[in-house]
Amino acid sequence: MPDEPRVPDEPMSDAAPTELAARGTALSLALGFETLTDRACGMRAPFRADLVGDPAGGAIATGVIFALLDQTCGMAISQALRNRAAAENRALGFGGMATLDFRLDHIRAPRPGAAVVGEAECLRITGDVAVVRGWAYEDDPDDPIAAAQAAFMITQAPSASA
Amino acid sequence: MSRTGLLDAWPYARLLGVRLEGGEDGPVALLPFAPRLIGNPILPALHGGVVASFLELAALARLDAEGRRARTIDITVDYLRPAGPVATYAEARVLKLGRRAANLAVEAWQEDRARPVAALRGHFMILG
Repeated sequence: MPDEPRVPDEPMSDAAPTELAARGTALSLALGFETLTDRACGMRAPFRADLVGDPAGGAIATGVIFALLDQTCGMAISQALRNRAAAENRALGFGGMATLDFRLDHIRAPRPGAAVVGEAECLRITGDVAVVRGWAYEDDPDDPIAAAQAAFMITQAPSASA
Repeated sequence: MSRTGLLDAWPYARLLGVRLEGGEDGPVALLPFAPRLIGNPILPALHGGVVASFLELAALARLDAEGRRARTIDITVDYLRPAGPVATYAEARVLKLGRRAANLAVEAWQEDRARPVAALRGHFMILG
């Protein structure tokens, strides 16, 4: 596995290369996202006054939840690519990924003053397209705040010689 | 008597630095570039979550300009091109303004209005 992800030949979007997504981006650091170690692909957005959306509600902004789930979806794909490479006993010849589309349904408002957890799982990688879903909650995964469904393009497929 | 706009009132909008700017055909939303908005340092490119947040805030600000307070029901963001480390603009159109919900379409671009970097479609609950 290479130490540093390679630059995609034809970068199309904004998603981070695999290891970068796991380490955190400038944005996720600026927003204070913490990577969860007790589950596969999870991050927590701590409650902070400057992350509030509508001040009348006092809860974390819907846009923060979008960024949180975008980040965890990227992490889930990175992990799926690593698992696939390991299963096929070859190096991870992976450059990056680009979000094609990302849908977020807001099921209910987050509780005012509460931190939000985002989790994601990669459903399938077919060819160069990864389908992934994510969900957000405060304490109980069975009481979700929001649900995401997204498709990503793998921007540099593993080469046969890798 | 001027009332404070949504982009000034929402802490997350202020954190991102989103504001309205006068355009040829009315106000457009502006997201000035800042290094903390980066999602991919190699390209470099804005974080997908920032682009989505910006589009969503542009939609909410558009409804706010019509005196409607709203809450996001769902949004879908299509990513069309990399969003580079420069200023991003967005224009929101109200496709349907109902009594209970509104449907909006928002397009974002950077240097060239004819080459959008992302597009949003979404439903918003009208609160008042």
